[in-house]
Amino acid sequence: MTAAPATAAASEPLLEIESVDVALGRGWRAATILRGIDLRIWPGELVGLVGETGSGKTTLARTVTGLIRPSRGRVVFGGTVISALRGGARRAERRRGHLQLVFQDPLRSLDPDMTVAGIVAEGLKIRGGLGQEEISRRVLAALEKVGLDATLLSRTPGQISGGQRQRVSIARALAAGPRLLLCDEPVSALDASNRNHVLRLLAELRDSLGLSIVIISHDLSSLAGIADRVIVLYRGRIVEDGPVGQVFAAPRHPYTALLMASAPSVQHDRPLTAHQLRRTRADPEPPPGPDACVFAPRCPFAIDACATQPALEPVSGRWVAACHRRDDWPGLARDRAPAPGRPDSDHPEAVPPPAP
Amino acid sequence: MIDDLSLPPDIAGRTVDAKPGPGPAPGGGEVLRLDDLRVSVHDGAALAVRGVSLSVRPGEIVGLVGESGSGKTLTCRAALGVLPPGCAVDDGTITFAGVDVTNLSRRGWESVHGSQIGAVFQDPASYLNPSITVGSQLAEVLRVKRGLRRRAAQARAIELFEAVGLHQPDRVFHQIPAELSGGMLQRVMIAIAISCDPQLLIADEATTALDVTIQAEVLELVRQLRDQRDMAVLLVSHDLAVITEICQRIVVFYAGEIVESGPAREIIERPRHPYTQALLRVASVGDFRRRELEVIAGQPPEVGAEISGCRFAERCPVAAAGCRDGSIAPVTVGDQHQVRCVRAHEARYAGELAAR
Repeated sequence: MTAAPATAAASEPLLEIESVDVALGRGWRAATILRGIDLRIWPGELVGLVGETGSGKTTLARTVTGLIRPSRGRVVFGGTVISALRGGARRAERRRGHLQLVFQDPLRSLDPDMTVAGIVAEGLKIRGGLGQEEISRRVLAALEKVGLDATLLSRTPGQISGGQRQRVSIARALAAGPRLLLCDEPVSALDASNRNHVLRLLAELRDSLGLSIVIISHDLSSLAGIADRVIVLYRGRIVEDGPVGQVFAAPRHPYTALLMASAPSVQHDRPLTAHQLRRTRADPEPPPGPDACVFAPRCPFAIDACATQPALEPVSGRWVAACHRRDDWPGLARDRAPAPGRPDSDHPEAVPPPAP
Repeated sequence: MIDDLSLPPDIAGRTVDAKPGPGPAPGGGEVLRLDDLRVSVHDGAALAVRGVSLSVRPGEIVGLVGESGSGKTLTCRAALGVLPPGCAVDDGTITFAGVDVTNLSRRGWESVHGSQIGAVFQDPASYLNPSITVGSQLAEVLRVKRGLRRRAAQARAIELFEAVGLHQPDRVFHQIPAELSGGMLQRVMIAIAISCDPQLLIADEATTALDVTIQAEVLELVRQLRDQRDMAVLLVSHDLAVITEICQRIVVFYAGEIVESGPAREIIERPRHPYTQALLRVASVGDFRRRELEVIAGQPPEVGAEISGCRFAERCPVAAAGCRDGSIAPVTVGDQHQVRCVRAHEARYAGELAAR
């Protein structure tokens, strides 16, 4: 246990992840999924965690909830080093319900045979110490917080719409009275209207309950609408982390810019096109080697200095980026052709790291 | 890079029974034409597609957009002759390259599939055999449909893999689906779909499950293939932003009907149907600022629900008394721009979005 310093509680981070490495698998199959992750989540903050398949977003969420033990570093939640807890202490910590997960596909993560009432109440029953009346009261309160009608209580997940199902998952998480909500791709199975509905609900919960919320998503545009901060992961490393407004106005890591340029958009006038940010065969070979910057193989701006992984360094305030060329590349990108001169197909496909 | 994908005419001709042949097809040069198509589901109990008429010309990318359950996928499946069990074409005609294929036999469809229509769906992994190399799955199509010998089929398959932007195509040829990422698998599916030079490619939510960076690459690939081969493309998505990325014409579906159709720019800049306007507001607009995320109030009607008047009236913010009477016919409001709305001519709609 770390003793809480004498500073005001609000300025203390709720969650601290300190130089965490996570390896999955054993022996020759071991693969390092996360490297040197350092991040803090403050109370009442809504953080967007973005990155592509295989970048380690889900592994990070699972590490925070204690489903995976880090091979290095520590995870501190509300003053408790939860990565060091074992056995009964860890189970007791989990039962307190301060940390809740919401999964991507509610049709798969909710039991199809249980009613909405049963799903929302299940965690409370397992936790114990609550009477039947208190449980029903909390179930109704949780449903009300997510804007669902009590008439849905007796329905099963198959009998409600996709947007309602995801709100049931959120109600289930809220019933436990969490301080941090980790949502793993909560909206990727939903259409645009329901997606906005669920994201708006999460933003309201942050405002009304003061919850800290982490949303894993690759839809940058809608995240930008509600999040306070964005963290960009690439191949197990944080490459950029900062306030949404600053990061999205002028990203300092080329991968963040590529994600923004690739997001489908009704408007076609982008400051930079995806083509300007992709490697082509004309670009010089990136520096090889195991210590090279994780993004170098896809980066059109890689130079010799990129043979070593850059550290996260401050851009301004709480905004950090890990790129050797963070001041140079935006100018270079603007000088590149915005679209392929002739149809070509020579940008390398991103291959996720091998499954452990 | 592939310059010439055409095969000797004796090989190309062998696979086709209906023989619409290449070159300008009769019927105004349309590759696909649907006239007043009606598709019933649940063994005729409900009408899910209600009088859909649309056409696709060579070299044109037409986007179908709408919420889940709006009938866009069933329309595509009818056009492919692969309706799920319990679904049937009740009325209307499907004309492919000037030939009526509405009542084509199963065997008749087999000659059309692959050689004249190619299709790509959302989850590429579920359409590939997990235990056979992707190369032999493509080569098999070439041997069966085009009568190529084993060695020629392999060479051709590698050429096609290169044409769809797969790196080291000769290596990919010998890999099984589990060894490839989602984006690579979707490229394999596209290679299979275009292997027999179809006149039409149907892509049903083909990029929905992909990461944004990969989605942008696959959309660009579809556009390149259209440019190189003058192929017609029918692109289905629930995300208007994806549709506007590459389509020339947009067809908006709501509850089994086309509510608006027209040139893409026109639809985006001057949407006339309240539903299209709502879809535009909830779509990812490429806005990376903090903002209120909009939603469409209410839920779409049940599939097959019989509603007097406009099917969107229930959720429409500007519904008037006249909206509930009789059936609403589409009206022409501009060059090839049609809207199914009784208030479409009222000036208050024009330029509403432009003013936003």
